[in-house]
Amino acid sequence: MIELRRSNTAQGLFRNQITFLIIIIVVLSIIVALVNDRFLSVQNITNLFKQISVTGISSIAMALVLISGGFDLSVGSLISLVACIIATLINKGIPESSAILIGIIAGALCGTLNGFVIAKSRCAPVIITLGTMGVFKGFALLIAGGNIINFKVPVSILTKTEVLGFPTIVFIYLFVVVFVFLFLKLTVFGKRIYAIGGNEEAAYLAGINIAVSKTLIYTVAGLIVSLAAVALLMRLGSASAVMGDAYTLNAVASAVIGGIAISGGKGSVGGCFLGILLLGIISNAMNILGVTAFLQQVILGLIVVIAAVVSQLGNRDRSV
Amino acid sequence: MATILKLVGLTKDFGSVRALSNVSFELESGEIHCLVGENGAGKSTLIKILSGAIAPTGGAIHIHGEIFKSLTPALARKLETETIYQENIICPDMTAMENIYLGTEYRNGIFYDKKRTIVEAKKLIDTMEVDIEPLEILRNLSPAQQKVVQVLKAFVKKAKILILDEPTASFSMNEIETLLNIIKKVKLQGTGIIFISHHLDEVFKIADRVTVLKDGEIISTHKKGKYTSDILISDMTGREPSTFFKKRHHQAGEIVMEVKNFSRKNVVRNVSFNLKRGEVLGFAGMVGSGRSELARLIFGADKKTAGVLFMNDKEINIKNPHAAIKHGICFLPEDRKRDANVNYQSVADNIVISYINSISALFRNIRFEKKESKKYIDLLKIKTPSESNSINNLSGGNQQKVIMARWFLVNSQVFIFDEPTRGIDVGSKEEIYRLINELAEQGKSIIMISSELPELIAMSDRVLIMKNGTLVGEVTGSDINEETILSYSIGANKLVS
Repeated sequence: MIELRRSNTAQGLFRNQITFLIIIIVVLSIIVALVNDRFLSVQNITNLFKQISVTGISSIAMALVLISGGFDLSVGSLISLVACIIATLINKGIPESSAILIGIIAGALCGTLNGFVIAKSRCAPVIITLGTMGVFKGFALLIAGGNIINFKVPVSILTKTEVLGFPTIVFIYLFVVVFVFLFLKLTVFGKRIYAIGGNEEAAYLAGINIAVSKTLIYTVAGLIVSLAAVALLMRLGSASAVMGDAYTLNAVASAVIGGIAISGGKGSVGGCFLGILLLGIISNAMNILGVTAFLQQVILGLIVVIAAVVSQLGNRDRSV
Repeated sequence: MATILKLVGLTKDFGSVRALSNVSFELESGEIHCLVGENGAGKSTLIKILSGAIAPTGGAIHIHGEIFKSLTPALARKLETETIYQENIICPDMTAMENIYLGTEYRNGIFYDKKRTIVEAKKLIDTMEVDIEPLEILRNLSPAQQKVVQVLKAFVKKAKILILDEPTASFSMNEIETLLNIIKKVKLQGTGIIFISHHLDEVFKIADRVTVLKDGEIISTHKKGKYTSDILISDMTGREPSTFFKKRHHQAGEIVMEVKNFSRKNVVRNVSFNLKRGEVLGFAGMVGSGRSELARLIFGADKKTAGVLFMNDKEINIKNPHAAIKHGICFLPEDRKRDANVNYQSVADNIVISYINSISALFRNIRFEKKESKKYIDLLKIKTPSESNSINNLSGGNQQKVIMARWFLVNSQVFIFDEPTRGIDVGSKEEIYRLINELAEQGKSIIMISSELPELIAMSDRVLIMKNGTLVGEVTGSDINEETILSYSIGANKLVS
């Protein structure tokens, strides 16, 4: 049989995507800092983290689902729905903390719905979540009535600016990163997620209950997405049915840049974190350097394509 | 009749394994040339070379007088060679007619001439005396009818060479008869046909010549009427008994597991048997005889349509692999890559996955996992740089040992090995035989499915033979030999229906 597997230096370099990301981030930071010393100021770095937090949280949820071999198109709609639920409940006079809790539970249950249908029907997750994307968005529109929901009563939790010295949304993001990192590393369930994504049939034959596991995975993802909704609500100070729209694909993009395989079984929270950090730095740098928003869009799109191609270099057994 | 295909000194190596050795073979136009041999004799390799899927290491292929070193799929098609593989490679959601005329549609300029195609399809179906509605969606046809569609497709393409790889596997007598008749009609068109079969009765009905392949070499070629089933069987087996595995000296104990009336629609029919403590129970049969399917039913991986299972005289209900593992049954699938390896994960993770899943703990005990993985890597002599290496980087034999370790760790009682040594080098094979023997000596019970008769014969205390989803024979003691087993599994034995 003819060996088609190539081995070149590029492959060796890219094999460990995390090392690669760190190198790029460091090099890029130095270059931008040399061009403009404002880049490394505390204020700018704080800003940078504020900018990436919501996408960051959603990308962790997406990463969980992707590692298990799934996909979730409903992330953005769910952010909008949860934010609309919380804002509406607060305006109805329900205590703020209860409203947030109810919103988060509702978000987690939406995830349960995704997971349950995907697990039981064995349909492609893309299709099922394409459907629930519409459902969640529809509910958000019904709740918001097509308007922006502003708070009619004073809020305190959602306007809290700092927790333990971190800006609140950055704190939420870092909390999610650490929590999911430990969850994947230390729990038996974390191992199951990798097993299912790595080889679902093998996981099944190793005795793992695929249906229960998948339902749980999407539930946890729903929970994390709800936290993204809370963070976004804090950032914008109001809710609407379209506020989350951009986050689905940005979450996928940053997960892919972070080395998480769309085919499942591969990737880490650390990679995901670095992926989003890189995107954030590039976009922040382009702002500082005065690159127009339209051109930024082009460049960020190209980066996703390049990252995807690079991560495939390592496993090409078949000639195209 | 003219010779249309001639293979001269064809050799194929896969790494250090020689799959074909100096094979010379001829096919004439308007001839049906049957190719028989045990599993692993090299038949599939030969067809893959002829269809252009793989390139031979040495030798030459003469087709229509032209000489080639190797073929490609496109070249094979250009030389009017059609191959019909065991699995149906067709478009299930198109009609029978569309499948038959795929690539040879009747057309009006750039448009598809549906009317004309229907007329021609009906004509074709009439002359071939087949019972197929041309406008039926292929998915709704029986597997046998789908096979007929494929043969018709090759027929309308006026293929000069047609290769059929075990076309009748799992068909009923009538269906086989129909298919054989169609193939004979294709032959009358002048097509040279290579027909691979595991069923000698078919060979007797259809072959103009038979060639026996064994261990990658041509053993003999017989003309019609110049051979008997005994001659073919002795040509197919007649090998030196392998010496590298030793029998255990161990008495089987009481019955541990009893399988009663296991069935799954069309693949496993009413199978009953028992398994004793410390016993290695071999399962013989040709590929597609339902052995792996039966194993998956016992393990709860697939749903059975009927049957009950007893473990230690207690009836148990196994509805998924998780339940099977809880009851001490484990399963090592034949396709490790597809069904056993958890890709990208470390050797340690692959070893502990079933164990950590079976205990109801929330958190992993990583120190314990590491300790146990190291223990089994030593015990089973798994060759890996460390327990944290990815399983994908290991050789086949070592991957198999990792999966064995997985089941040692959960302390299984019944081990179902499906082709435990497939794709494994000789050294690792020996290791695996040793491990299986050790398991039996420890009082574990082993079901061993293998297509390699020598290993099955050497390892088994008892051999059950399956054919078309049913048990057709049981042999013990000195009856465990290639002749007896083969005569059951290919149906030359008249005692078997």
